Amino acid sequence: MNFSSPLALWALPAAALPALIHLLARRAARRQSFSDLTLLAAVESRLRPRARLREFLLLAARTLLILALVLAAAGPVARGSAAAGSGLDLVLLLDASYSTRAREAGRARFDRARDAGRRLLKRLAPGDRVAAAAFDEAVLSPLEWSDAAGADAALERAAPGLRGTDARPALTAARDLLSRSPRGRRRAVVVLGDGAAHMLRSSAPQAADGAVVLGLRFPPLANQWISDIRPAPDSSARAPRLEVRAAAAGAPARAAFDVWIGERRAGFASAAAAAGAETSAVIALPPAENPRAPAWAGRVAARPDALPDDDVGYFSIRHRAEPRALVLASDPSADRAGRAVWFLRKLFGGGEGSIAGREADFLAAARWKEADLSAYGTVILPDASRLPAGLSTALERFASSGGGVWVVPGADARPDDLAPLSAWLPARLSAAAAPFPRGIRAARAASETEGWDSYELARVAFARMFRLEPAPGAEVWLAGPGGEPLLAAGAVGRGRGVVWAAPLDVDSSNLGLKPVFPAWAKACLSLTLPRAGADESLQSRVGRPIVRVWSADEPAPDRVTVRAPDGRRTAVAVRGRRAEWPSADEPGLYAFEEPGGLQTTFAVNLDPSRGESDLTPAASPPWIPADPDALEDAFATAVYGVDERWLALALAALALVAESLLALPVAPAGRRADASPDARAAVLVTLLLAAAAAPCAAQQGDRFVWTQLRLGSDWDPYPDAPGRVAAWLGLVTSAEVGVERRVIKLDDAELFSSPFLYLAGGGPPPELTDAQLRRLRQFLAGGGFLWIEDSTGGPRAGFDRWARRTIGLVLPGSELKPLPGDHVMYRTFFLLRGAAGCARADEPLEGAALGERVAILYSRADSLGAWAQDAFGRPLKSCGGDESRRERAKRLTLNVIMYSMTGSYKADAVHQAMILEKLGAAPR
Amino acid sequence: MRWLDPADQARLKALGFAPRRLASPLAAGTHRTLARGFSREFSQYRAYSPGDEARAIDWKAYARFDRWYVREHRSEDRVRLSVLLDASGSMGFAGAGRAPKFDVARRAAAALGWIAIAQGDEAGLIPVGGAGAGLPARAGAPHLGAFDAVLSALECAPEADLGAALEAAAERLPPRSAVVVISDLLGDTARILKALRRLSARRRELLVLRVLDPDERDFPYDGALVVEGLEGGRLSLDANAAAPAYREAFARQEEAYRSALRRAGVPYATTAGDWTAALPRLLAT
Repeated sequence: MNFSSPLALWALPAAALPALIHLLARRAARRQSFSDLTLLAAVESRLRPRARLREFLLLAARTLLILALVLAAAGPVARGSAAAGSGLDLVLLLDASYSTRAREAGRARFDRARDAGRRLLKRLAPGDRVAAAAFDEAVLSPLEWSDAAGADAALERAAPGLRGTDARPALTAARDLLSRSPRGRRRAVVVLGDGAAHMLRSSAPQAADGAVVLGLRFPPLANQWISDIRPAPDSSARAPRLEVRAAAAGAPARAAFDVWIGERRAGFASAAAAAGAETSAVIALPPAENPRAPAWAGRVAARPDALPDDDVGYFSIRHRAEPRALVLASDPSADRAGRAVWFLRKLFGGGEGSIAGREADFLAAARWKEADLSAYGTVILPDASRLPAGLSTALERFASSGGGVWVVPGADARPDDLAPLSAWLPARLSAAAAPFPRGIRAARAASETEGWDSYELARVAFARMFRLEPAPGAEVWLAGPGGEPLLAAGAVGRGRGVVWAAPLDVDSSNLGLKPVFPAWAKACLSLTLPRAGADESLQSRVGRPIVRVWSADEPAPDRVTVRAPDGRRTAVAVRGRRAEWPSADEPGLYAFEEPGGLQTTFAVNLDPSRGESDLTPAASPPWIPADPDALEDAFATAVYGVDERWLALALAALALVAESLLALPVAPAGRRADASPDARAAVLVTLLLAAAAAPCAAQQGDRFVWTQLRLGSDWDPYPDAPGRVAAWLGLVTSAEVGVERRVIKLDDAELFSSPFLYLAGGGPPPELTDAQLRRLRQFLAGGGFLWIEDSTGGPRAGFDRWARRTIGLVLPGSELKPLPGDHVMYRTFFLLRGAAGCARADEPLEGAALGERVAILYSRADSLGAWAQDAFGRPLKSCGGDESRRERAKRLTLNVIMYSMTGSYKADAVHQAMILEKLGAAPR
Repeated sequence: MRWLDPADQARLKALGFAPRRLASPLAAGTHRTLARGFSREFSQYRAYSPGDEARAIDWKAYARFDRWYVREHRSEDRVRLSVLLDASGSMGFAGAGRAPKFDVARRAAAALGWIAIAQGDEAGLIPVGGAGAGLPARAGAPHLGAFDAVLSALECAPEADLGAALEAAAERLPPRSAVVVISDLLGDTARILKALRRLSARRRELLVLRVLDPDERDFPYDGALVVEGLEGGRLSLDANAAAPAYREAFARQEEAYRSALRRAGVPYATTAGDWTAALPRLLAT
């Protein structure tokens, strides 16, 4: 409990006054002699306990009364912050993580939080300082003191981002800022987040002294999200499968995933996720578009829920290409047993010793044109000799565009025949002399030659061999015992070439019969594939840079163009075989396009490791939770405390009532009645009456008071007319009239004291502010009637335009329409046949209705002018020389006044017959 | 007389005192007995027979009738009236603007004494409590003066137990006499009633006159009071709270006295200052 004016507590000892007075009174009791005390003693002993109790209670009630009054004067404030001084230092931290994009009832939580913060800003007093910043994993803008307008602008500019949340740095920054603020100022921090558990990954820092920390609390929302997309464990280039992991929080979810590649829906799966658990589904992907570089990039979409941003995942996966191979056999008798092709057929045939996963087409080299080289990833020349025309060039082109070429010289090939191939292959084949080495060994230790130790590589013998001269940049994978290169592989343009030194047929080498043959063939084939074609998933996270590194065997361009998910292309320089896109700001597919057409796509996703998608509210946050719609009240209570003065006053009132009751005489009064309860009651009643009398001062009771609105410069064309109107009204009707007219402005409280309001004008008054329009609307909605009169009587001018405009603003739902001739306005007292005024007799009255009744009456006929008189008592305005018109204008004035007081009761059916009869009988 | 002025005497002239119970044939007085003897009231003429007292001969009758006739009188006895006057402290109480009860009691005592002596009975005064001596019962007009003087000399003094004092006085009273108790009877009700019963024992005729002040009956005080009793003691109380209970207790006490004394056949009257009206009521029963 704190006190807003603790000085008043010095008066606490006054609570001892009643006890003191009681003691003194007892001492000063009157002495009375009496004859015999026997009876009195008996009586007194009977009454004493009750009298004592009553005395004690009375004393207690009086003491309590004084105590409660003193407490009320001290202004107890519950739960406020200790500093009761000047100004408030407020830090607003707006959570801009992507979890705040969750939508509830059509509004994103971010918007609700931000609006709550902006509403709070409106409540600040001029001496308060505010620092506002958005934060996600760190504080996004520096926290500095500004005023409410600056903070409002800062909040307006913020937008929810795509990163996770960590409240700790934000709270630490707030604490550092507040610790520097001077003593005596109230301090408060409001965290405008969604109050989710993921905000408080690490423990929150201690708040600054005396700072009140409030946070928003949203109801728990179930959410599901895609947490990871990766190639399934058994996915391969020929059977690509995607594993999608999804999780749900808050409620079990049934997830249905759609896979989109480009514009096509490529797959579908569904899985059920228990709340708090992960589930995964495996989706088969369609075959790759480019078999040589099988890559798939697209998105996986689940059904969007409250937070739609985490229901989409992007993927970009690559597999080692296992493209089809094309075997171009030069030897016409290639299928004969023992020939190279025959060995290869065994490899690709699917029988024993076959290389699973690769398929090959066999074609005679002479018919190479019939094959579409681009459909194959590898071309194998198992017995290369004199090649048909164009094949070498085509193969070179094939290799340069990314394919792999594996060349094994034929048995009867001569180095000159192989010269065209040697020109571009990574090794030159030339004649070699016997003796040929026996045995092979692995020149490099790599995954391709893994496990070859179990083979007896020394038993491989060659009868015919070529000499391999590897080109610079080529790698020698297998060599002879003396170091002669036997297998060389290297880059050819964008593709690769592999050259084996010896012919494969059984006459030239026994390699085909050895158990190492399938492994050797597999190694050779894998060497034809690009190195970088490993199974991988190219992924990155929002906010992190994307880096593309070119490995040694890939040609690195100078620049790449990065196409962002929104379609914009930006050029990025490649330095040191490395291109970096500094920060991926939104999830999606980023494509690194190289000048030659090669494209590497990276998938950027939201980072689920921060648990951002789990919207479970924090169980015990380090701040006072507040509902976003009730933030202002919670803030006022937490920072300023609840004013409990009323409690103390209520206690005092209770004590006063108890004291009055206890002080009443115990039995009906004897001859001399006890005057004090009556006196006290009289005082109470007087106070109540006085309190009630104050607002009564403005009431006019049941008298009609001409109330005129003071607006503009020409508001009072006829100062004496209202008095005369009121006098005639009192004379002619039974209404009670107040003689003085009342002049008010729209901001006065007395606006609501009279149901009738008159506004005259000549020139245009100033425009009404919003507050004034609201007050006027309140007045009209509460039953008030406004009569606007254009006193000029001339053509439509500034006042007319102002009046029409203002009427449209005050009552936007109703329009100003002329009153029909049988409107009740013409019948409320006098029966008139139409409008009449001093200035014009023809223009009808116009009214704007509010519900059933006319709330604003607009006339341009200057009815009030009919009443004006000059100092001699003669009429001021001539009213066109027609006295009957003046009379009619006066009657219309009365009718309007009666309408404002009685409404449309004359329109009731019970009056109709009489009215019609009178109208029919009237001479006019 | 100081305590009985001629106006009151005139009012009391009509009153007489006739005890119901037999008085002792002590001496010749106004009261009838069956025993014949000399008295003031002529009964009849009887022829003289030798042995009668010579002074009883009515010589006027002899002159007329020339025979000796003896005048016979009703033989009347004298009653001894003892006035027990309560002189305890409570009798000194005076309400606002009124005479103290003691003065009222003294006037009543003087009146009773005068009535008795005027009838030819004996009257004596016994103060109960208080300071001052009593007066033995005597007949004869000069006794009134002494009566008066003794009354004037009496003073109130606090007496704790009225009942005990009454009983003590009862011891000294002869049997077959009349007793008038003039007191406010404020005290222990049971004890006082017991004393009154004692007083009316041994064939004594008891009359009780209760002298009160209206304030004692109405308790018209208010506010916080420290009440000091004339018999001693003080109390602090709130008069407003205590008044109704006191009045009720007082009424009960009064009713108790009235019913008990009526059951015992004792004439009882109360006076709140106007003793001249109470005395006829007392003596008429």
